[in-house]
Amino acid sequence: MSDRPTQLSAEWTYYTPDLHSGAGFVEAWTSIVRDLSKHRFLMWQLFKKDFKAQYQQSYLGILWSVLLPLLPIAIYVFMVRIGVLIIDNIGMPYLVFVVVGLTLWRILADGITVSMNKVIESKAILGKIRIPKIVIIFSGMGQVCFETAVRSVVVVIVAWYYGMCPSVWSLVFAAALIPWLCLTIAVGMLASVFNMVFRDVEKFLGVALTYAMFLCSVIFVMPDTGIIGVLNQFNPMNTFIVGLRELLFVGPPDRSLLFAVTSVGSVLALLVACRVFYVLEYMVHDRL
Amino acid sequence: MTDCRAPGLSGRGSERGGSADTLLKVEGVSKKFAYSLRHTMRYGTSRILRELAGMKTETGQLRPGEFWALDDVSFELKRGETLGIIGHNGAGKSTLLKLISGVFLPDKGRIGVRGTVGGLIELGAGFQPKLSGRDNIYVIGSVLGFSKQQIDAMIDDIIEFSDLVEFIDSPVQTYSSGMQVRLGFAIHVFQRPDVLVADEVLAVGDFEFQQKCMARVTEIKKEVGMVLVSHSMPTIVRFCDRAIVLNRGRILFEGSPAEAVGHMMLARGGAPDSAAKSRKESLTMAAGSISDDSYVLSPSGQRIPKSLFGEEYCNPDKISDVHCRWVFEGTDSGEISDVHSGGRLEISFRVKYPGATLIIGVPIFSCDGQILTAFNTDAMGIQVPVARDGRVSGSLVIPRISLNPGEYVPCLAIHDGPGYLFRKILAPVHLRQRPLSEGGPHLVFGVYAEECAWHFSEDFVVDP
Repeated sequence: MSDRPTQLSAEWTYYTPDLHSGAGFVEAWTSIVRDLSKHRFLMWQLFKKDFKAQYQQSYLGILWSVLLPLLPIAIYVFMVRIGVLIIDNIGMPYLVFVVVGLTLWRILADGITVSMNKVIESKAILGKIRIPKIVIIFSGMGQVCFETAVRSVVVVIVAWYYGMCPSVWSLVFAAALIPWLCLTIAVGMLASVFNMVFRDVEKFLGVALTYAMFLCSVIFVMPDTGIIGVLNQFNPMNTFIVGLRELLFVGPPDRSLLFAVTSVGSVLALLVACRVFYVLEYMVHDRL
Repeated sequence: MTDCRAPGLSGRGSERGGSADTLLKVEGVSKKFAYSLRHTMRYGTSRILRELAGMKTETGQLRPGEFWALDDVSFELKRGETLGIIGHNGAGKSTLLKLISGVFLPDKGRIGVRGTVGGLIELGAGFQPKLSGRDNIYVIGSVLGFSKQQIDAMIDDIIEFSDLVEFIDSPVQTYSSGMQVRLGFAIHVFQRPDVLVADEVLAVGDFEFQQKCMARVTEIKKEVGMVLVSHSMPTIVRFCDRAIVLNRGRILFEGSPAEAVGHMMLARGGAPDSAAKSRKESLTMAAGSISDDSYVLSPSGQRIPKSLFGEEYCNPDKISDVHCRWVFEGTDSGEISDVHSGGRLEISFRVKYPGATLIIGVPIFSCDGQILTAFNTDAMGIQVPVARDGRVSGSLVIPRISLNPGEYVPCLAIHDGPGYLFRKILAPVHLRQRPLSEGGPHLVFGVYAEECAWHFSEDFVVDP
């Protein structure tokens, strides 16, 4: 049995109605980083708990992470084969195109959904003890990253099957993936904190993430020209999917400047989201 | 040594201050909620938008559709002190605990905590049913702020405390609800925060486990500042140094636990409905000397809160004319008797419907609410005869009262099968002891006072 610390902390912590209200960016970032660092073990335990629970009582276990996306992939490939979906000038075999596209897309879609759901699912525990919700969101993101790693094995197998070699630029792929993760976490954080107050967020995003895929060159190429082409310049999701896919197998993104600006914008978006999340997290907790 | 600091935020709201051993300061705290989810959403959205626009939100005023769940609550707590919080459902007890834990922010006032806050609340919450008990110890332990090394160091103690050694590697979904709560308690009870908040968790598991919990919490409470919410009035009286009665979010009384328990009976929220009123009137008419609704007055003049002995109840549609009185040997008083003398409780009442399966019970409590014994017709296999007009008359005869001198509180309960028809706390009985010189019995310790004799001889040896 453990002994209690005998030293009395002289530090008083005060909970007031405007705690965190009007907090600055630096305070928000440092607090979030401190919370993540302090609760590393909790994050790991929550990740392990969800991981074990998800794959227990299942013969196929982790294989489901690979098998489930294979079904839509098979359908898209079939549609291309029979000519329903016409794909031109993609610069790589369609199977490679769609597997990479869907793997990248699932990072965003699953990341946002998991962030929202984990906070709601943890309502019971959050209602009895003060846990920073960012820890719960990051444990969910850990799950998404793990599943992405498993799906990447499929990407490697498909690329190998078609004899495709990664480009030299694929070495910077991992670094270029970071802004994509930043965008995912930023949207996930904002969605989860707004969803605590009004559940319309999860309903809207559930539908939006299903259909936004068709605006993002995931299963077919979005046109560069015309109104859609112009509008797509402002669609960071399309910019990332196209750019990251090119980095992996072709070379530097066609629209390098746009890719760079979008990447910087996504990192900034995360920093802004951190501040909004920090300010609102406890302020709206009683609405959860 | 294990440093078991629960998660908490400091920084922006932190400062130095307060007296040396004060651990918790609740200063004019109010918390409001909306009646409907529509209002919850609307005001929540408004708060978000105003905050994002950099506008200040005035939280101290009620808006349409809102109510104060807590209103201007203030108190302090020192190390080694246990504060009981009592009140009826909806009084604001759990909200107060959530505010102290930092889960909710107050809408007015502020809460200061020195050190860490730990909770014994909803012990089954957070379990992943598909994982084993062992895995769940790590998960819940990490939630409570323990490190891996700390959990490694104490996991054997936790398992042993929970009495689940054989089942610890089975999925928690195979546990009974009692086993789950035992595991939850075992994990939580190893916390050593500065302030411990506990919500209705001291009566978990079977009797033996409850005794372990009580012993453990008694040990912990010397070292922490403890806030205990319970509906068990005996627990509040026995455990707490001080108690607060909350009524509709406001402090109705703060003081000694026994007095607080009495005040709680006055803290009924809302206007009584006609049925409840009728039941209350019926109780007033029934036998017994009662000083007011909340207390029984002992022969020595002590006011004892009735709620220590459970609820009173009468169903006037089914039972009426309930009368009872004690008759003790050698005294005219119905309230004072000699130890080891006999006595009887004469009972009469009328049942207003046919076919009742009556059970009459007479539990006897100590003045702090502990049940000492209970006489029951059903347990003794006695069928209660009912006359044609529904009248029942009889008496419980106790040939020899084997309790030590003191005051005891009897209760009369009349059931039809498992359902109560009537339950009333009777006037306390004072058992006195005649001196040895006047033929009184020898002194024995404890509550139970049976006569006995000692024999010694050099001739016999106890076989080992």
